[in-house]
Amino acid sequence: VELKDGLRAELYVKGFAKEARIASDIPHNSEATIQLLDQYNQHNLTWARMYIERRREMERYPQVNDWIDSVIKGQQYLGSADEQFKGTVKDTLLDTAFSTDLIVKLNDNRGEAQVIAIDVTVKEPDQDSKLRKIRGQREDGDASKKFNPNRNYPRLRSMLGIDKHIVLVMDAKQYPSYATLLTELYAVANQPSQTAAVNLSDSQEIDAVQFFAEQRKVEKVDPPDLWLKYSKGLSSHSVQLSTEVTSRAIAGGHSKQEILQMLASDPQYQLFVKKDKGDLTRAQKYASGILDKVVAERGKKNNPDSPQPEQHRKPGRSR
Amino acid sequence: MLANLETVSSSFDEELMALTRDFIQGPRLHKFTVDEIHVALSQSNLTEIIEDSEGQEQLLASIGIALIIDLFHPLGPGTVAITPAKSHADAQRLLLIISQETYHSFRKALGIEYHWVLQLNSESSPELDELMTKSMYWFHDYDQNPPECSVIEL
Repeated sequence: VELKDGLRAELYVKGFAKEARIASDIPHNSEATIQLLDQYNQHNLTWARMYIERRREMERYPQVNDWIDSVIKGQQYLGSADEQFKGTVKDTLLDTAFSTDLIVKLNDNRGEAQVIAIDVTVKEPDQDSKLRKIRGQREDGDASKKFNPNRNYPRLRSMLGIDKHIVLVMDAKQYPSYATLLTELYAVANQPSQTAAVNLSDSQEIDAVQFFAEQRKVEKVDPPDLWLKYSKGLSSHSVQLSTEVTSRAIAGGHSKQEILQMLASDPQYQLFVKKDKGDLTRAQKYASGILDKVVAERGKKNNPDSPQPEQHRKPGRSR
Repeated sequence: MLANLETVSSSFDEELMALTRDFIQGPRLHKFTVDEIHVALSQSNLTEIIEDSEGQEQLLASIGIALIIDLFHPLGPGTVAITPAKSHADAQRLLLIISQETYHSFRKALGIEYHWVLQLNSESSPELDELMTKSMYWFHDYDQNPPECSVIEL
């Protein structure tokens, strides 16, 4: 499937944020985000909802507006809404009702964390209207009209814990390098102004077409992507999460070597590395231990004749 | 002066219609049956330009409508027929055509409340977000009482 230029540019910047370890999020969950949008950005939310069912990422969720309704009205939702679905709705609404494709966090010169919301675009002519929007004005700048759906943008931004909001303009064919992006974002973090347009459409450093061609080749074996892929939708933690993700990866037909590489992206693995100040011994032992355990359990499932592990049940508890 | 419908139908741009359907059409689309459309066409005297045994998409395309969408949820303005145009001049001409009584009664027969001529920018591909924003201003700049037929510029 051919990706739209705007979506490709957005994926490029998201890939950069992940790589540079500055990818971040707002502290609010999906429900709280929707409630704030409803309270302070209602027109944009309402119209985003009218089009949300037409978006490709919502194809699997025809009930999306029923769920949003229940969140706004504070009612219990009787259908099913898993974490992955809720996350997709939050990301989509932040994009369509609050001009935010991604959020990054980095420290400014004084060592203070700056949370920056980024609206990525490949349409240079849209730069001014997008900037007016995040500044709380009408897109067309027509001050004679009384309708202005964006007037609460600055207020909502601070309620969402976002310090800066920028429109990032890129060329659809030539992307700025990661180094350029990082330099520009640090400049934004250090500037006093809350909003800005950062136009990098002339930087022409990375060939977009070639980048995505290479990306596709790498995708098949890239371990961090495997972790993201197989941990999607899981809400468990530590050992249980490692076990579930490993189990999914085995079912996905990946080699032991690939899975061990994947487990290096496991938060638990990284916790060991951090605690042991970079010494990988304990982390690697943990990863191979998880893998061995999952392989052994799968072996038992496929071999019903082999002895089952003893069931641990608390005595005196019967249903 | 009423536009000549024969000339009109031959000037509808198939490629532009396909592009418009592609960028707007999501999982939810307002569907009418072929019979419903036939009845509406005959009631509105638009019948002479259509042929029998065509699907709903072809039937609508024959009178210049690329697709019909619902904007009801949660408190939107209603059902909207969409006719694409690729220039300002085309858009103004199409606006005159769809404002005719024949088109009005066709929409009335199907319960379609609004009809947009979507003027697409030839420089860049249209995006759903842009249509979302433009339609929001269309609705509110008319104090939530927009005209039945309008040009929306992307």
